[in-house]
Amino acid sequence: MSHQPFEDWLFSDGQLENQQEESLRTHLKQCEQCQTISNALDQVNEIFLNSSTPEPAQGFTQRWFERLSIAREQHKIKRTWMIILDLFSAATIITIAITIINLNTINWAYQLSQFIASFSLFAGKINQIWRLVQRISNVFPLIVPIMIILGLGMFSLISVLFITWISSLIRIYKPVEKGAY
Amino acid sequence: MNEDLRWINQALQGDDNAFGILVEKYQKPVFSLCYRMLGNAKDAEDAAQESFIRAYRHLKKYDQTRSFATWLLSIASHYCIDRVRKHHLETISVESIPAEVITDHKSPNPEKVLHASETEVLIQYLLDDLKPTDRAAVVLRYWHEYSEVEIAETLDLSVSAVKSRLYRSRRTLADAWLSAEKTTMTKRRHHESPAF
Repeated sequence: MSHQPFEDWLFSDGQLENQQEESLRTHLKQCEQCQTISNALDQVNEIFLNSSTPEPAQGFTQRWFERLSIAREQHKIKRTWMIILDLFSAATIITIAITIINLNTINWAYQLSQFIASFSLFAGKINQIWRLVQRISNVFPLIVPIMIILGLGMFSLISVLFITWISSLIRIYKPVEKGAY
Repeated sequence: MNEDLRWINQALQGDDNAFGILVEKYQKPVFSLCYRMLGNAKDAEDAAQESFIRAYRHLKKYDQTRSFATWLLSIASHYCIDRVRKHHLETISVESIPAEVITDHKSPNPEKVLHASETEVLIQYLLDDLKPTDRAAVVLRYWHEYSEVEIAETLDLSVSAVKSRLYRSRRTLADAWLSAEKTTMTKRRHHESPAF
């Protein structure tokens, strides 16, 4: 049995002409499948149309005013961050632009010779310090082991302080477990 | 309408209280739409509040030749549609619907009045099967008695798109009802003694 156009008429929920209505009624008497759909739609329509309209709890407008103030505050914070971000971006762009402009005017040969000269001076200073240390160790043989022990002691002390600081931070920021107290 | 325009123009000048009057006036339809879209009072309250905040923020964009209520419901509908799409909302299983809700509903006995909360569970179960935009169209049609033209205006759709969405939704709703009915019948049979 063909269910068209009856199914379409049932689901479209439009105004039917008298002849179409009569035709649909006759079809529903003969067709169990369309009758089942028609009944289901009637039930759904009835339950929807007879249901109550949900209403908000008392004080909705007051709560809206409170939310409006919070929203404004958040908007202000967001705007401040946006300004900071904009300024930071502008500063970055300007820095990059200045660097690019300067890069074009660098005399590479001069820069390289300057770098080699600076490195040579630095190496010379290191050499001087090393010779001084050698002279002192010749006069006072115990000075090098004492320096090493002092260095290791300082390093251990800094390490202990750093570990204590980190563990304190972990304890402070660790969330309290539910039911711990 | 003219009264609304007066408050709108005052709100545009920065008068929060003028917009507060509009919130007071339209809180029920906006909340009702959000409730049917999201399925619970907590989310509905949040969505309704947020819809009014967005409406106030974009009040300059409101076309004063249009209905303010339609514009508000349009904001609320789009917000709820986005929310349903983004968050996986808890859906109601057919097993959670009390058998009496479906069987008693069909009973001609007027004494067997459905309990409101049970009816709400059934309504939510039926609406859960619909796609977010289809659900909005159904809610506007049934609970706000909007015409297809008004629904199209509210949801930024063409009238033919609204017609086809409503057609598809009715088919889905009928299927969901029949499925719930079938499950109820099975549950009842399980509980009945074979001796009867």
